[in-house]
Amino acid sequence: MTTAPDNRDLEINALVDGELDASTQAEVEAWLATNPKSAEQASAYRQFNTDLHQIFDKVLDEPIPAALHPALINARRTALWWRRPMMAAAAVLLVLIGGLGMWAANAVLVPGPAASDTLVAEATRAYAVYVPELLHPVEVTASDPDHLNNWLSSRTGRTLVAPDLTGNGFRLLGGRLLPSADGPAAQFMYQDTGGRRVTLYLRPGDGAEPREFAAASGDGWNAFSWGYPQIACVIVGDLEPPELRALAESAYRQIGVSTGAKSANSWQ
Amino acid sequence: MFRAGTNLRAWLFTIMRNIYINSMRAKSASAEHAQQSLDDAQARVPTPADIATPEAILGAKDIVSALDQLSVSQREVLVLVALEGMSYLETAQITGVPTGTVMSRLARSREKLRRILNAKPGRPAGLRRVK
Repeated sequence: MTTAPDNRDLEINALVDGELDASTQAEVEAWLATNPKSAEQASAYRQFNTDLHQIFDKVLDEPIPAALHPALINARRTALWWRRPMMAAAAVLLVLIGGLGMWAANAVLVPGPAASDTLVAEATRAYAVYVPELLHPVEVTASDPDHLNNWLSSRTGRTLVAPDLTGNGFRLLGGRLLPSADGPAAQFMYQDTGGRRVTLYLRPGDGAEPREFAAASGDGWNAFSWGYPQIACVIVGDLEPPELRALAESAYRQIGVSTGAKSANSWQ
Repeated sequence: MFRAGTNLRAWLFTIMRNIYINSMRAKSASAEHAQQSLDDAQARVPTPADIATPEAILGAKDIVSALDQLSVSQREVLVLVALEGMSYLETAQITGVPTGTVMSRLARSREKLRRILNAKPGRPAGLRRVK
């Protein structure tokens, strides 16, 4: 920056930005008509505005990434302070258990888990992996729900429509495709305004008897599972059972309608 | 404080700007936060794929790099006025400087951009469009 902008420079900028009143604008335009250098300056400035929009509008219009959700940032901060003591405690515990480990493993391990255990285990494993994910919680976002549903439906070979859980305060983030023992499975992820996340895991059913409604829980999660002849479902979240159950019921009703499937479930 | 009849976006920008400046001043940011901000910042930089037409990529790169050479206060007024469509008055309120200062910063920003871009061979101004 060598010279201070003079009045003409300021007027040309103001013209480009539509900041001049009608009479001044006419005056400046008349001046530009006889001063090609300044006219070129004005047209270059106008071109900048166009260029800036062309370059950045697409970025500006992107949805805010889930990682920048205020609630999640708060959750992350909270997570930081308790994580250290927890990790220390976990390390101590591992040392204590270590000596007993080999012996205990033989005693505790049971033969192959039952089928429904496998379903819930798959769902909770996927939950544990993807729910803490900040940058890529889902593979396909919910910005285009039809695309998401069609893609997961075609890959799993079942008509899948992500249930709308906004009535329960949970918004669809998106979904991803996962491997399962019975072929491709789908996971939808939802988040509420407090940054809490739940997943809905959908696996092609084996065409056997519809699965009864069942609850399960583990370290940091609760789950409800149910099934139709064609699809087995698990909803997982770190929510109190009554709240999670309300989500499960809402999903249950909607999936039943969207697939036309009848479930054997007796729960309402 | 926000008052009815004034521009809500301008008011929000003022808040965001203050929060940003405060967070920059708070030196207590942990390394993890710094890394997170870095990741976020990198995620915001438009890649060639973000830009509509292949022939525009060359010019877009030049413009982004020219923007980088502006001072923060120059870039700030340019982005608020040219991209966000704020008036001079709103921009003055957001940045907390007199309107006259906004105008001179803006004039300097645009002239500097023009000078940098004119220095590129074969392009008068703006995106070069190769047919």
